[in-house]
Amino acid sequence: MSEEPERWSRLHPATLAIRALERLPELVFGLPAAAYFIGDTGFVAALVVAVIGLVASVFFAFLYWRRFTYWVGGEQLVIESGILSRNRRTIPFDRIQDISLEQKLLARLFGVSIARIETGGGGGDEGELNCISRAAADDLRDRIRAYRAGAGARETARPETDDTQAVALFTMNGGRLVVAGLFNFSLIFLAILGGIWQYIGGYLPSSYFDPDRWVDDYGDQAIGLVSTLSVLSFVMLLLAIGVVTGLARTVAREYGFRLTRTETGLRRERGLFTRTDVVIPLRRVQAAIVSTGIVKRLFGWRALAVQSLGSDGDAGAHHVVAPLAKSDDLRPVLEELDLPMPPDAAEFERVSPRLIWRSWTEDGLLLVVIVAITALFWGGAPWLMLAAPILLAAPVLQYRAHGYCISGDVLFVRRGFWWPRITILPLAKAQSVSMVRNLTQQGFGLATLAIGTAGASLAMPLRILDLDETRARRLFGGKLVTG
Amino acid sequence: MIENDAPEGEDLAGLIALDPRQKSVLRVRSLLGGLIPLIMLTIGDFVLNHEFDFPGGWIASAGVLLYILTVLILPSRRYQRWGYRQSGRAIRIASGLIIRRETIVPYDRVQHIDVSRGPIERAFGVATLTLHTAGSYNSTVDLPGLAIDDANRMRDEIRSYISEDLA
Repeated sequence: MSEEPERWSRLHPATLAIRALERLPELVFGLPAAAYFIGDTGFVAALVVAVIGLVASVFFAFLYWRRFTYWVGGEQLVIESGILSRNRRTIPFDRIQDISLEQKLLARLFGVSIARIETGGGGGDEGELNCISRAAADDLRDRIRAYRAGAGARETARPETDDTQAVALFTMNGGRLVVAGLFNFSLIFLAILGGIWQYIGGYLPSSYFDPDRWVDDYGDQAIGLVSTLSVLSFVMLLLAIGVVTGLARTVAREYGFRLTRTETGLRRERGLFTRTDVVIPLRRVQAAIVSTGIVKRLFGWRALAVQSLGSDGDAGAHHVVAPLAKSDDLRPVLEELDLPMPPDAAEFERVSPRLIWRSWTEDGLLLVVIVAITALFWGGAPWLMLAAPILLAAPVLQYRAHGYCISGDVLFVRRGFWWPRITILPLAKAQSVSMVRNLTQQGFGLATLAIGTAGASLAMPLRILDLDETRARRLFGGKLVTG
Repeated sequence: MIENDAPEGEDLAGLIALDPRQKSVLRVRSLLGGLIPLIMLTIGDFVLNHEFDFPGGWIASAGVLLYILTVLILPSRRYQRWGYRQSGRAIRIASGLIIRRETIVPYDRVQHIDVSRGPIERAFGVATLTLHTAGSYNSTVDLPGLAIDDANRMRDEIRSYISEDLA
């Protein structure tokens, strides 16, 4: 580690152009707001202020660019940054798992990408080179690989192949993109419209929101408009827009999806406008999730995601490694992950059927309390009882969709009726296990097992709900954690 | 060394109870922690009585009753639901009066360990052992109410199992 830097590199000059162009939308959208606050006559003043702001930010971006240098040595990466106080960061190649690249639309035009240095284990800072040319990124990757090959750190040395020739584990062709898009039907544009409405609503005259005025002005026309046909065509329009939005979002995200194997992990490239190139180190993969939908399942389509440990102490991430795949496509991917295929639904053991009674009791009590409280304020409270059929049906569906299976040293948990998902967790990756019994569960002799896994989102701990208490205790004290 | 009494309930059979001094810690905590709600209830009672002719004294006396309950009865009940047991490679911790929870943490999944002592705990000579795991669920598992020597001994023991490399 006693090498001395001899040739410092700078980030790609296009970084400056990208920074400036990224600021432009703020300026364009900010101007009307600024003009609004300054007053009608102040538009020129606002423009001047904005231009000064833009020039200043470009100037600082330039300073930052001038003062940001990095050096790729034989066994380390050194980054020096900071305009006034200099910060020098040394990242030894030993600690670098791989380099992830991200190309946003602008960056693609300039042929540059953001390179993120993925370091192993928890703790410590990561490095980010924002942005460097593709050639520089490849050079950095090559040097790290060369160092690793030289150090003999890899026992399973794979033949050095060019990445573009590596066999793809999974790809999305055009047909599959379309199918995935159709399943991705979404009405998110309604939310976006709502957001825009709220945003511009403030600028509209208040009479715009006065219903009386609308009824007076357009009442007769409106009644004429509301025919069966018009309602039907409106619904059709909504559906069409939903399909198109789903397609567009899916294509934008998954276009050119390609999953390959690198020495350290899986490499995923995807995206139409923002192109990302992410490496998921195998050692950091904690669990895999096979998910589908109630309709998707009929066609045998599934998606595979892996739950990976965060880069440095953060919560970690789910990486989709196959957005839409048949069982046969999943097998090679799971094989690389060293995980077994999930067994058929028949192989899963059901939890206790008393889950249904437990849910009915809890939901029923809750409903009664809510109805009783609303009845104090609102005469129509008994109408809330209409929720009862849903509450009656939901636990039955939940029970039928829920189950677990332990095969060898791997735990499978399936859950969800509308969106069935199977979590595949090697028991060696279970961090802790809890057996939890609330009051109702104590009454029914049930217990829920909750398994702590690294890198999961907080909202979704792995749970096996409502096992018979003796069986839960046997699992709890037995295989689950000690593996 | 004071002899510990065993935890109550057949599901806790074979578990070691916390140090009896933890009962006093819990009691002092409820004593102090209940004061603010009690004062607020009393003020609420006063205001309702004077401004809205609400019959006075009911809310305040309910508050006092609740306060007495939490200070006199709950601490020892909660104390009895706590228990732990160390096996060769893992620790099992049970707690919870209403929602009963038992957790097993294998030593080799522990990321780091804290032994902490708040002012009340210091006064009674007990400490809390906190195990940090890599899981986002159960990322910290607390075992309060250990005699300070026990806590330190357990920390050193578990520390020798901590693996260097998580990934």
